[in-house]
Amino acid sequence: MRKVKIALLSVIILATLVSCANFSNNTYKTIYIAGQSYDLAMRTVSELQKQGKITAAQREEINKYGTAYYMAYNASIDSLELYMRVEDQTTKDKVISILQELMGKWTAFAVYVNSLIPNTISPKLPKKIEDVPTSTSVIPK
Amino acid sequence: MDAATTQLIVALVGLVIQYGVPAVISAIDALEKDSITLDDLKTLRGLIKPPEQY
Repeated sequence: MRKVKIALLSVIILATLVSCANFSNNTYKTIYIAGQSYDLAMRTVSELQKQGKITAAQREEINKYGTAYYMAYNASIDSLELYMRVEDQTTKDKVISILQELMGKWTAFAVYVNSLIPNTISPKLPKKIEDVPTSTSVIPK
Repeated sequence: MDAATTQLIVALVGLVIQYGVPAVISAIDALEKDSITLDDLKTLRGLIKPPEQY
């Protein structure tokens, strides 16, 4: 558990060391952190199941939340790819919308895992993704 | 050494323990990118697996 927190913290710190260049860059980094966080969380879940702290039925339920997150994660990459090809405002709005959805999926995933074993996963994704604004007006292109 | 530096070092050591040195270098490289290309998106796609594969 401590290792997980330390590793997540390190990812956050690394993210904050990076300067903001443009929308695609920031989105890329946000998705990267989201991916690393999920990977770490699922490894933790797998380890907890091996230790007998999570049952097969609970794991199945976790996988449902994980699948929703996994799909939103891939959708965010698809939307970024489209944005990089067309670079218009509509596509940018779509990217932001999908990232917000990704945040919601993460919270649902974390809340469920934490309901089984408290404080296993942070209910919020690391800093970069939380910085995604609700309005596109403040995002530099 | 100030507290922030100590915290960063502890965090980096933790990440190395968790993932190994190559993974940490990969993460730093990814987050230090000044500009990204469509090829970089392949890295994102390969970063995670469906939950049942963990």
